[in-house]
Amino acid sequence: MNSLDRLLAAASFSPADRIPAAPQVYGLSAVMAGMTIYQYIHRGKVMADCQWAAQQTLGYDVLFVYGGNAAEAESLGCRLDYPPHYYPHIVKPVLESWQDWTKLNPAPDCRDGIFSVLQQACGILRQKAGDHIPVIGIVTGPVTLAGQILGIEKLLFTLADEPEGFLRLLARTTEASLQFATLLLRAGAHVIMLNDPSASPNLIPNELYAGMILPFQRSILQELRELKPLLLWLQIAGYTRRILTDMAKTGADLMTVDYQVDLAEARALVPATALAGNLKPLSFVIDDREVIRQEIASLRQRMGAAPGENGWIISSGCEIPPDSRVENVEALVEKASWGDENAPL
Amino acid sequence: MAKLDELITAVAEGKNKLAVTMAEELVQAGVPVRAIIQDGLTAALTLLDLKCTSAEFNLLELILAGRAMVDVMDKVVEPRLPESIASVLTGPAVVLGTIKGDIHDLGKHIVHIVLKAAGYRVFDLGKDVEPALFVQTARAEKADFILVSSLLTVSIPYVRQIRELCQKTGISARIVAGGAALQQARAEDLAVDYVAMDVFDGLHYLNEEAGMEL
Repeated sequence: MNSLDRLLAAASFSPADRIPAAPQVYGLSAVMAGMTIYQYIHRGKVMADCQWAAQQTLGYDVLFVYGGNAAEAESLGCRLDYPPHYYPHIVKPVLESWQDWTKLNPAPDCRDGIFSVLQQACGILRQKAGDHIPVIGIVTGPVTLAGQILGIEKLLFTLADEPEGFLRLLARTTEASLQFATLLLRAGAHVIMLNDPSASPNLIPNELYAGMILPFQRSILQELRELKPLLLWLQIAGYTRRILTDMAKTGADLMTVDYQVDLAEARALVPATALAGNLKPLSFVIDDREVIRQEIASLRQRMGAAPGENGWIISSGCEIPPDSRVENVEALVEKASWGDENAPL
Repeated sequence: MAKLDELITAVAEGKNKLAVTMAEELVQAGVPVRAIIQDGLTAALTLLDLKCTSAEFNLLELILAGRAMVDVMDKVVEPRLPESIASVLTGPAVVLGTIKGDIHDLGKHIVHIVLKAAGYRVFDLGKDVEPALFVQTARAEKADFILVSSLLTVSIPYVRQIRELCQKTGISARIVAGGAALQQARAEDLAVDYVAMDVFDGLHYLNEEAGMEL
């Protein structure tokens, strides 16, 4: 079974030869190749080569295309600061209020900047991977994008003081997220991950998700479905336990569960949606491989022993940090392939 | 007093305009401004503390309550105090900042407001702060605590430097870490005294160490 078939099997709760391993290795692949994050996000070939090399070395089942959460905001007209060893951030939000939409580029300008790099990387990786290893294009979701261009604090005050304005801004960023996702699919991505960390209950109360955010994320995924991606993946970090059932209503084939949520409990809440997770990202930095192994062993016991049929993909709750220990990612891949939980390590 | 309860509720629910109106009416009715802080704002903090467990914690509710507190302080309390607000705050000194390499400051902003409302003297260094500046400021202000925040794991080596610099300069301030990245670590991983899971967890720790009550 190749990696792509393995991922599809788990997504459809069908038997697989082993549990798919999808550690969220983005910038870590650059570090492994001796490149800086700056170099990684400035050339599509560099990004693709780093991703390919890391996957080939460690043997996990995915390739990711990601340039930081500000890539789309840059295409909309925001100026970024580019530190050498980490992803860029926005210098200053370009909107003063939600009504200032006209200050942004009317259509995303993806000819230059990080987003053009992401499209190149998708194309190169698709050529290398064919239909053997899934290429996952990561797109910033509408809430996070709104927080980037308005400022997260101002966005939250808008939500409270001018909810209609919040919704109108989200309608705009939803259009933008959809455009970006479409570009990555057309560039060669098999799968789109809609990554929306600012939609997390850590920022916005659980009870607002269904009415204020779900409709927008759902509309993006519904439109993308028409383009026939292999899978649609929704990722919201943090304490998402109380919004999981609503997240499933977006129509996502796969949802990430972050480390704060019990994975078995998540499975019970959303029995028909494949789940990816839920190792703590910082564990890959500060812990040793034995900790990773034990965590996966525990997860395997709780998620059931049937690879694929349990609808589970081993992953981290969010990006595995660029300064992680590579041997910890190795441990994840080893444990995903381990056949018998009772066998000695 | 019925109106004081209404002030507490207005602040806790983030209704800043109502909170200012309530506070103004209380002052007009003869309630001392110090009581507005201690029996009003601090009581609202207690209410939020009880509500905000880790699973129910969200920044929106906290920044709205924080805005209400700041509005009451700025528009009602400060104009009526003959001396500066700083003299009312006689609690321990806290140096606060987002560590070098990180420019996120929303959570730190909330911590600032909450600590101030709880009576601490807060020296906010902002974001992308060098480890040495935390220590220099702690020394200059004779701070009891250094609070360091980060959302990025790549900043962890800088967080560790704070302890090292404190030891070199003989500063005995307690070091507390917070923020989405640092919350995943143990205190010993970061060379700090405590890792706060949220603003109230951090406040409890400070209160316990300082012998203060909420």
